[in-house]
Amino acid sequence: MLKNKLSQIKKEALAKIKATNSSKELENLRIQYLGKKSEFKKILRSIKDLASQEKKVIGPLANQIKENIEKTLQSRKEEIAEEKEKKEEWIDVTAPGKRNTLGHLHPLSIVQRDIEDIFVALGFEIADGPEIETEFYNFDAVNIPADHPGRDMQDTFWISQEKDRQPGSGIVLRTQTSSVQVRYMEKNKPPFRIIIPGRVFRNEATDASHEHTFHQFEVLVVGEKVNVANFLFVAEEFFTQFFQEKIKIRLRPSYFPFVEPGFEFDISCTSCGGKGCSVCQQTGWLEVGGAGMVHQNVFQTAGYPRNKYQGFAWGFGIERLAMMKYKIDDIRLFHSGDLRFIKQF
Amino acid sequence: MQFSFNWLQKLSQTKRSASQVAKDLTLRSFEVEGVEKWEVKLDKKIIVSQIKEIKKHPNADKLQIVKVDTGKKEITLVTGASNIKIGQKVPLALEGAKLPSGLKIKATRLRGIESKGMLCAEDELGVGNDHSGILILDSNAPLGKSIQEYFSLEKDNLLEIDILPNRAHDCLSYRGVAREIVAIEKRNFKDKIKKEAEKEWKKIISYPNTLPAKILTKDCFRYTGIKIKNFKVEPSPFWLQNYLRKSGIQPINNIVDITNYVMLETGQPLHAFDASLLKMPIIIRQAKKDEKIKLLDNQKIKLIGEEIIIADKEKPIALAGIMGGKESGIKSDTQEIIIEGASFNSSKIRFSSRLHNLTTEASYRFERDLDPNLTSLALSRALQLIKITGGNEVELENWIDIYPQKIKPWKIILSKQKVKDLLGVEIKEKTIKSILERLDLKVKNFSTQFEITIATERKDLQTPEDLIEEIGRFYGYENIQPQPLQEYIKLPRRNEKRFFEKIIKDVCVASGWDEIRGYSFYSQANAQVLKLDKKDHLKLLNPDNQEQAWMRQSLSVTLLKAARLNLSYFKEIKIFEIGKIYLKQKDVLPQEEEMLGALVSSENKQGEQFYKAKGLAENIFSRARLSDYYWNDNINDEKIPFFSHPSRKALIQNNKGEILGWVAEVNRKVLQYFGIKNQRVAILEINLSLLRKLSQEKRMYMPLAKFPPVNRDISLRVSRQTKVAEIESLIYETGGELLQEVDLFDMYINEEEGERALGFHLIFQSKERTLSSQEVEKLMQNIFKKLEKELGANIRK
Repeated sequence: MLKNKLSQIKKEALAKIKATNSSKELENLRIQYLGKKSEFKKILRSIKDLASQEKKVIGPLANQIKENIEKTLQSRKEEIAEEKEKKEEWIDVTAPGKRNTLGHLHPLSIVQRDIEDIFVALGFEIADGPEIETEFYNFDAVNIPADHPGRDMQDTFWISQEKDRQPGSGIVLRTQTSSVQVRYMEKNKPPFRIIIPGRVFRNEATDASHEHTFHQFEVLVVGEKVNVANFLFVAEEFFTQFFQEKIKIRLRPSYFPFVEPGFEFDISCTSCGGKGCSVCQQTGWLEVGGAGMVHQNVFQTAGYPRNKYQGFAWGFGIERLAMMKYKIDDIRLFHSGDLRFIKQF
Repeated sequence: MQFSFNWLQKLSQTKRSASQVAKDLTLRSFEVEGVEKWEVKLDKKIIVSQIKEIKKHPNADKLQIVKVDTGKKEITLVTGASNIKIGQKVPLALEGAKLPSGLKIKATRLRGIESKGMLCAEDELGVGNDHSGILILDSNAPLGKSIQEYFSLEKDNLLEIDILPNRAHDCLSYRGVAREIVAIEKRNFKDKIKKEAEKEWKKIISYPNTLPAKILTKDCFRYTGIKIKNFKVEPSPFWLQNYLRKSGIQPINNIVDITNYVMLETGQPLHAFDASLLKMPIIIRQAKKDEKIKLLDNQKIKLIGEEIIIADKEKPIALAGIMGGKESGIKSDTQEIIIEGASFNSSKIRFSSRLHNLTTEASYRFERDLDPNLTSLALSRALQLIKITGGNEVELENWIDIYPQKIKPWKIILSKQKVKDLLGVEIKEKTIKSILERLDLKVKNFSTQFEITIATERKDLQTPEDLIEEIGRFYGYENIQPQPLQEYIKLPRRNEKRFFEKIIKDVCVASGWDEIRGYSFYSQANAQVLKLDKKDHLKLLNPDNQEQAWMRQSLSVTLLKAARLNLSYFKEIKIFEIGKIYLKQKDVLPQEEEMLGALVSSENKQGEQFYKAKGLAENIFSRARLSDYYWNDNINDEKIPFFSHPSRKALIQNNKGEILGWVAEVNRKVLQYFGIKNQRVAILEINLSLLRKLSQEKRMYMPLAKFPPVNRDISLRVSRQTKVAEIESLIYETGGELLQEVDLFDMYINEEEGERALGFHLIFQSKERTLSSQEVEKLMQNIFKKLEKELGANIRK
């Protein structure tokens, strides 16, 4: 009898608690079902009059029901509070965040950092040299004597000098980062591995693929046994890291006065992987730069004994790499100062 | 140089296609930049005809009425050409014929005379570019035959080959490139031209060597000449003309064409003189100052006295190695000819070519240092061709060959170890030997080395490395496997300059500024507007345009130009550049200073741009751990840029008096010049080279404070001109050692009252104890009093 009644109370209380949405009504329900004047309390108070056997059953049952109702009340209370919070404190999370707007690095800075990071990890030091250079370091030191047809290949900006210029003592805007080769070698002994990134100048008309101001990257590795196979390794390793995909290197004969043998080097096309596409004009290869084994005359100019050392050097345009990486079609954008370009990086 | 593939094929006997050969050459020898199909399809109604009669047009001075024989009938037509003569064979487009250009020939009346066909010039047939007159055909051309058939216009491919400068001496020639092709295909080159020429030379020297000539300069290494008689100048056979055209050379007449053909074939330029116009002997000498010569291209030049010339007894007859003289040139009635083949000092030819701004096929080759042994070979070949092309009556009269120091083959010792060491691959001795032998080099194999005898035509082969290159490229660089570097290497030293530059760039970007790159030069006009021209600049000797005239001494020009460019797209711009400026100094080379330049542009007129630029500077100094610096607003200093606003400018200095840089708003005139409207612009420049030197990267830990800080705020009003820096230093001074920090948190300008309202935040803290509020209160009262008394501040208590 009593047992049924208790169950009845529990069922009724839980149903009402779940149905309510107001914390005030919830408090009323607590008073109604568990308050001093509630039927439940009456039953609790009457337990002491029951037969001991019945007491053992009803007592724990009543407690259990009490706890159950209390717990339900509590959790419903929290639920209601949370719902209230949810509704009242709603914000529009699709509105933009509050922040200090970040600026943008120039794409050449990004690419140059990528290049430097890879070479530093390979044990290379980063070397520098002046942008305004003597005729000697820019030409003679790298085996391009005054009358050499090699000087034909580069159109050079010359600095005007007050005094009448002696032949060979001119000042130029460096036409290549190779001008730093002998400067570095005069102060350092092999073995060494260096890279020389920097600005170079050519006196030529500009168009989508030519600029009078651009950046080059010289790589120079010298030791007693440094060879073509080592060059292939470093080149393959670098380009694979740089483009984050397996790159193959192809060497073709070429001529630069400061190397022998000299190469033109191509990498497998980054657009088609070497199958042939419009980017590589169906050849599967992209031309990236010149390279070769350092000429003994260059070592000699640097003060090294002839035939003691071997080394390789290579140079390429940083703009060219950036253009390949980001598919940029006009080299003039780099020095345009146009923020519509810069803000993309 | 442009090569006819058919001609190369004939010399090399290659069985591979043009595109395969192009690929082979690119991988092993020279880059082939293009393969172009050469094909001329002509309408069959264009035929060989012969001129029978030429009459003047009665109604037009410049037209002629011509009767031509087609073999079947005679046709009358009207032409404007003036180079035709009776009896000549010429191409005739009959009525109804369609020219390659699409033009259809119709019967028409020209000034009242009926014309039933058209005589064609070279370009109209699509076989060349010449339009100077009607194409004159061989006298034995069969009448009525279609031109297509007569020319046997074979298909060909034109290869544009980029001959490397160090191989110009042997490969600006069909023979040289053919040798490369044969070597690539691992065959032996059969040098038929050379063999035949040597036979011919033997015949030549059986004649008297009495051609009078002498060399009076050390810059001529060899002079070879032959004199022939009974020559008949006429158009050369079409096959020969065609090969010239396909190699980019215009046919002229049989003798000139033959000398050009031989030059293309062997690389040795030849020159032909009309012997009857020369007063012997021929003298090769240095020019005299102010001597004059009229060249074949009708240009008259005055010599400075340093050129080498070919002269006769009286005057110059050719500018050596570059171009012949007009007077002694071949005429249509020339019968006696002297053909010369010579060898000159390449730098001399180069010098004259530059001096007179003359570049010819000959000078281009002579400048690249030819083998003197080629002269006799080329002359012999020329004489052979004269005979082959119908000069049966031609007689050799005499010859001369002055060759004081004969160039002989030289030897190079090549260590076998060296080949392996440099290429990084082990190549079989047999392979090495056969590669070199296929290049006409003689190889002796010893135990540890090869002894190689170099053919004199290979001037580029001087060192063991030169030979290793030959081995490498014919072995195939693709057959070399990549190998990691073996040498022991220390950890790389950090490049401090670049590292610092990177940190500063990151601060700028994190502060919201965009990086740009500008040119290293500016124009004189730009410098003048910014009044930068007061300083002595480095100037370019040969700028391409005025924008490249002066080497920059400030990054501001680039920044202002970029600001102008971006105004159309952005309301506010904040840009920076890290780059070099170039300052004159006593040393040979200028001082290159690494600078940071930053520019902010927006509409605000209250000086917001100045504070933004200054804020960037403060961020940079904070990151560079620089605390010793102050903002000097002493404006009558030369160091401040001349283009700044009259009062919104400050120098950044340290206590040693060194100037780290400046911040300034740009004055109106300059903004106007750069076309910046409705915007105010501030620029910051910092000398990064100096900042790096002053930057303190090393830091020591400071123990954390054990006792709580006490915070207080002050709000006050002061006159417009009272400086924040003055107020702050007065507060610090009065607050004593317990005052840790003073920060300005609010600034409001009341223009009407001529006042500024300022709010400062103060932090008091002791290292030894907790401060009592009474203690702090007392200090605050002292500060208030001082501010009121010394600066007349109105404090809101």
